[in-house]
Amino acid sequence: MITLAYYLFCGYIVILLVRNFLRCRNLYDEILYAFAIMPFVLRVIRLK
Amino acid sequence: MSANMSARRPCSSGTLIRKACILALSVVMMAVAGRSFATQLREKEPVVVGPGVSRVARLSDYFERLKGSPADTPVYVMEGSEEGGSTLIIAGDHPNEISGTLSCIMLIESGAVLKGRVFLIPFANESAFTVSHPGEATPARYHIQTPWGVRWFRFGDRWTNPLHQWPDPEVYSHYPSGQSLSGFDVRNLNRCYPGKPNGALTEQVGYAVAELIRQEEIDLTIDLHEAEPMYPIINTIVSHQNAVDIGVIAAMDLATEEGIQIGNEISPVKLHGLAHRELGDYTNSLVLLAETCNPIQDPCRGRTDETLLLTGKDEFILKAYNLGLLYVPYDEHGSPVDERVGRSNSTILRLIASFSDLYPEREIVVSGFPRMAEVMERGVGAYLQNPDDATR
Repeated sequence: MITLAYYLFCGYIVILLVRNFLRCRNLYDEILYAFAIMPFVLRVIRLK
Repeated sequence: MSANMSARRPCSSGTLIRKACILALSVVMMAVAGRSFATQLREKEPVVVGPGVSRVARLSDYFERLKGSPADTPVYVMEGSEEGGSTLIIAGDHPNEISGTLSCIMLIESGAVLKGRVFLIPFANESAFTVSHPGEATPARYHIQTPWGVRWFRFGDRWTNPLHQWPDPEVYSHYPSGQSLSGFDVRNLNRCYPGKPNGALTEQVGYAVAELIRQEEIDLTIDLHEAEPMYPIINTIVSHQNAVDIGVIAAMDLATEEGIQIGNEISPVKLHGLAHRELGDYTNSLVLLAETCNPIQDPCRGRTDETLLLTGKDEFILKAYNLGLLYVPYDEHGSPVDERVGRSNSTILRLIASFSDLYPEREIVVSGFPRMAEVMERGVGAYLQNPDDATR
């Protein structure tokens, strides 16, 4: 149950980061979101 | 959220191209990292089943619940033509302590048993072989040069992969003693003996090992480890109180016959979860643990790479030695893998010989397994077979 909640939470963060990446107009923010999303995606697909 | 994000104007084509490029770069980086993690998770080193191996069992054969789990691992069985005693050699409780695993593989690939039975578990915590310790920049693999090419082996973590067992409790309550241990040690196999059949994955592995000992009526259990030079229990045999005579005789023989200085300790009664305590208490086997010196484990080490793992040479550890901080002799020659594996081999052979002397009706005879001097002269690779012939 805790594991399921963890992965749902990770997936939710991925959605938020993608949303912010698409909405922002600043180059540095775009790079920040594109980098920040990586560990969460790797977690959601259970590689890390 | 930055202020300019709230501006709801449409993206220009330049912005879209920029976003696409950044996203593509991110995807490429995820693919590279993901491939590396996936390889670490799934790819296993080949092991050649030598002519001395009678059969290859699985740990799940002794505890059904492990079947199909990432913790199931091979158990190599070597049987002599004459009846005798039985021994279990465990390595890879901690996959970052490599000499025991290499000793087991050398015996599996090149050794033979003439009398009695030898069971070997080279990858005891299979799950922990699939992950590296976070934040330590340790290599995921190491390579051993052989006369015909290069063999590779996984260099894992001390703890079970969190992908396979998660989350850790705040405090790990060891079963059955109830002793409180660090929460993360619920993933440390050598804190999870004698195991719990309905416990966490690592506790189930501990239980399966104990079941193997009970079902196969193992007389002698040897658990192989390595330790950092600043740790006091190093180059040492730790014996359960029922096996102290075996450990003492082996240590004396190692010193007098082979010039190998090795300490001797009795397993503390109140230090729970370790093989030499729990497997000795909860099975009929005589249980001992042996440690060699592995500098890559030491927190004061410098550059952490495959060279350090294999040579054991480190200028900071040498400095620590000169300051009197180490528990082992150390010089500019380091602590090479050939010496560590050779030390493990000699310790195994001396422990088996001591047991056989004390219990002649349960004698075990092993052949084709080199002692430390031979391993140091020819190198570990000389005793490893060609992986093109491997099955696992």
